[in-house]
Amino acid sequence: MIIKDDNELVYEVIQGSISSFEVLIDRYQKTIFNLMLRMVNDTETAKDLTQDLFVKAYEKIGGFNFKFRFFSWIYRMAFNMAIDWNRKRQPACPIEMVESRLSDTPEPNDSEIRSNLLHVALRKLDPDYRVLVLLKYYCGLSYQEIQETTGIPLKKVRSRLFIAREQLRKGLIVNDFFEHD
Amino acid sequence: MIFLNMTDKLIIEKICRDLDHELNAREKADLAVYLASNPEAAQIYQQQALIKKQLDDGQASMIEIDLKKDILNKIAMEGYKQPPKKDGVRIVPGFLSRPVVKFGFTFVTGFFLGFLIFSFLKADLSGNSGQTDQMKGTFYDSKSTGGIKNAGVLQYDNPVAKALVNVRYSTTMVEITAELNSSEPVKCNFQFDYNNFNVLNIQNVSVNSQTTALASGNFIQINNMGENKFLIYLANKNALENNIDFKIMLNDSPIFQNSVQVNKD
Repeated sequence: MIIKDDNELVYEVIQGSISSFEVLIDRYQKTIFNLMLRMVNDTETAKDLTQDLFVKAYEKIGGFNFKFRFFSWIYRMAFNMAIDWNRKRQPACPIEMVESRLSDTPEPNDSEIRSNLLHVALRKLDPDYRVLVLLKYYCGLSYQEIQETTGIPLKKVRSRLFIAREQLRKGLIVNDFFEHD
Repeated sequence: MIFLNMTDKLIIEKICRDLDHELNAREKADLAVYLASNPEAAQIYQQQALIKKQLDDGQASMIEIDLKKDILNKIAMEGYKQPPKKDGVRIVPGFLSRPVVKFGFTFVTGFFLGFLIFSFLKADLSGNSGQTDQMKGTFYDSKSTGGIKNAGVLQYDNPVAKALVNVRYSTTMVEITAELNSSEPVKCNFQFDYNNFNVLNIQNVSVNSQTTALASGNFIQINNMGENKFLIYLANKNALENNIDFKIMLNDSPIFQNSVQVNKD
C-alpha cells in the first residue's frame, strides 16, 4: 500500500477527491481533538470545534499554499480557533469542579494522580502558554515547527515554553504533585 | 563557574534545555557541577524532570476518537462543493500522447523546417552574400529568440538521482527545462516569490505514469521516478533580480539544493 504524503493528499482533495480528505481526517483528528479538549476542558465542545475545524479546512483547502506543510496549516487553524474560543467564552468546566472530581476517583495510583494534577495545572496556565505546551508535548512538534504553526518567533517560543514549564512546576508544588513520587 | 552568576531564570532555562537534550557536553558538565553545589537547583531539576516525563506520557494517554462520519455529514449538509481549484495552474500529463497534439506538432515542425530550408536556399541563391567584414550580428539574434537569455544551469549527478535544470528568461517569461532521472522516488521542488513569478504551465514531455507534478502560485513539486523531462513556464512579473530555488528531496531529506538568478541585467 502506498502511503501518500499530506501535500499529495491535499492536491487530490483540491482535484475533488473526498477519500483523500478522509485520510487527512484519520491522520489528524485524534491529535486535534485532544488539543482542543485540553484547551476547552469539555468533551462535547472539543468535538464540535474539531468538526468545525475540518469543515473549515475543507472549505479553505483550495487556497492551501504548497510551500507549507499541511500539519502546520491545520494546527495553525486549530491554534487560532482554540485561542479565540478561550478569549470569547468562560471555561465550560470550572477548574475547581475538576479538582473536586479528582478526589471522587476510587483509589487512583500515583501515575494517574500525577496525570490528573498535571491536567489541572495545565488548565490554570494562560491559554497562550498552554497551547504551546500542548503543541510541543501532545502534538510532538519541534520548536521550529511551533514557530511555523503559530507564527511566534523561535526565541519567543522557547522562552514562553520555559516560563510555562516553570509556572507548571510552581502550580504543581501547590497541588502536592511531587509528594506522589 | 559561569552558572554561579546566573539568574534563576537562566538556570531554569538551562535545566529545561538539558531535559530536552539541547545542551552540548560542556554546558551539560557545567550544569552538573552547578547542581552538585546547589541543592535547591538540584531539586528544581528533579521536579522539572518529573514534569517532562509526565508531559511526554501525555501523548500516549490521548483519547481515541472517530469524528470522520460527523465531519463528512457536516460537509455534505452544508452543501460544500469541491474546493475551488487554483487559477493559472495547468498540469498536463501525457500531453504528447494526444492525437491532436501529435498532428499539430508534426504540422508545425514541417512548416518550420520548410521555412528554414527556404530561407537558406534563398540566402544561397541570392548571390549577394557580401563580405564577411560587412556582416553584423549572428544567426540567432535577440529578435529571433524573442530576447531570451540564459539564467543558468544546475546539474546534479549521483547514483540515485540525476538532474539537469536549464533556466532561461525573457522580459515576460521564464522557461525551465528539467531533465530528471532517478532510480528511487524523489521530490524536485522549485520555489520562488509569487510577487515575482507565476506558474503558467507545466508539461511532462516524456510520459511516465509514476511521475506527477503539483503546483501552487509560488511552488512546484515534481514527484519523479525514472527518466522524465519537464518544461515549465513561469510569468516573469517584473524585471528585478530574483532567485528560483531548486531542491531535490530523497525520503523528505534534501540531497541537493541550489538557486538560479533571473533578470540579471
